[in-house]
Amino acid sequence: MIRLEHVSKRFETGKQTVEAVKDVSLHIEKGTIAGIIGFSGAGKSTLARCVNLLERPTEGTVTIGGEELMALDQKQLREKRKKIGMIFQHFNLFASRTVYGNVAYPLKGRSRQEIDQKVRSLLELVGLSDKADAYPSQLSGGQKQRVAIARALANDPEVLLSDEATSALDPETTRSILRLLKEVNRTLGITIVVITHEMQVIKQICDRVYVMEGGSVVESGNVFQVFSTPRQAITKKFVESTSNLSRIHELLEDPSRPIRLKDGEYLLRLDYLEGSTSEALISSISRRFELDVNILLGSVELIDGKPLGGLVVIAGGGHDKITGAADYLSERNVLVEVISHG
Amino acid sequence: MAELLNQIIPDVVARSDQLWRAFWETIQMVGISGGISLVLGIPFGVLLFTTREGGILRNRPVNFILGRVCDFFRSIPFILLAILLLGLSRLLVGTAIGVRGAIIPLVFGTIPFLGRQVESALAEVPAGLIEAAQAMGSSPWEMIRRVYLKEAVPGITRGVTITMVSLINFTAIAGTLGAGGLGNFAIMYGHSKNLPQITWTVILIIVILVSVVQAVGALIARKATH
Repeated sequence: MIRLEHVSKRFETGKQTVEAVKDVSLHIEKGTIAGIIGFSGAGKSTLARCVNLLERPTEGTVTIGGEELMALDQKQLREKRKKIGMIFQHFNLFASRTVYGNVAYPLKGRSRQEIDQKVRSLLELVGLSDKADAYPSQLSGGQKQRVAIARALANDPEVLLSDEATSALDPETTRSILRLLKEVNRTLGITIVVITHEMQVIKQICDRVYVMEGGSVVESGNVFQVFSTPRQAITKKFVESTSNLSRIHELLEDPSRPIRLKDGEYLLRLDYLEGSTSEALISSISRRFELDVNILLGSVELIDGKPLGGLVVIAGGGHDKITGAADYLSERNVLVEVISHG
Repeated sequence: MAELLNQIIPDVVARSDQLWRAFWETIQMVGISGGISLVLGIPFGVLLFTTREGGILRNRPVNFILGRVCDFFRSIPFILLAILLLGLSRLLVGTAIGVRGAIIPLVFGTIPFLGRQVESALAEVPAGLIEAAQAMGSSPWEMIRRVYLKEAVPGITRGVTITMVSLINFTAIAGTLGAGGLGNFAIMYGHSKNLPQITWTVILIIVILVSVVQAVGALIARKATH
């Protein structure tokens, strides 16, 4: 659906040249939700703007639905953009128009009846039928983003670009907006590109993820794979950001020493890798190897029905038993790391 | 009432016909040159803004020329501008005096002022809205009409209000150069004939006129702000 080939974007600011996007090639299939994650300044927003040519790539080609965008003239490009919806971090609703007026904006040129029908059905889709006559200033952040989504869908786009659309929202509202995007993707079959710096967003709705750093895509793949076996340091950082397991290091450095290991006790970190089972591993090892296992921290989530994340535990029972348990866990695709021992 | 006025301001009552005519002339000058200035000044402001670097019609030479022309006319004190434009006025409307003769200088004095006001009102429209409109496939013309001009209504209204107040001020100056109106009336009787009642009455009328313009402007701006 979306194919970027060797896309680069350079900005000339006076004598300085900033290369915001460096030689990015990616292919997003029709009907999928692709996530592009990166810290601020990684070039992800610029890359998203290259998809609808709000930023014209300095090099490379952008093909959407088989049409090469760089080859279109201004008028053709405007028509094509109507088929590429976009939503933004700060919603960008027209303050002078009502909710109805905002959603009707892109429908200019159609009959009044047609517009009315379309706007009503879109407002119903996003759950704001009762707010048609309200102005944006009277809405909450989540409601504003719903209006923006309705507006972006007005021309029945093939693609929806979401540029940090949940970054200004609280976690609960974020989840509800993401649910709405997922629903839009499922029911309307729209290909969605989600730009975010939050791993949680990727986890919740994306099929594939592209990790960006310094203008390049440094890692990509399906979400579970990238999460379970992150290769790049930056990806590991993002994975860590959604789990609390790294807090163990803070706890160890805490001067009040909340964690004290007795003789024969081991502080272990267990990470569920791809293909690890969802069987009751902790009770199995404590039975089989006669260990006392005390869970200190846990962060396990199900992605595509598979567990992902890990635990930090104190296991007591001596070196030999613990080595046996570690081997047992490793065979079941759980990465065991000894953080320290008593 | 008439009796009372006759007791307080006999000099004014004695010349009420001239006062009424002068008032009407001022209204005409403000109305006609204000109308022309709106029709030309708003597009001028739109061009000043949109041809800027990074604007939707960015065009460095056009922006440079418009900007310099604007600054040139704005930097000339109005009384000198009016004298400068006497010839042009004769050429275009056939006279340099009276209400008709005042229109050209007033328009030239007002458009650059209004243009800058409109320009700064448009600059207040969040860039994100333009980006959104662009992403929705709007043409530059659509963005001007349906986004900039619509979103900037409160700002433009405030700019127009300030412009109208300055235009009223300009008409009084034009009055001293033979344009008629309240300014001329105050100078002729209040100043030259030393009748302070006339001066004070004219000042009072102008203050009321300005207040009405400001009140209407504020009302429109408030109604347009959501």
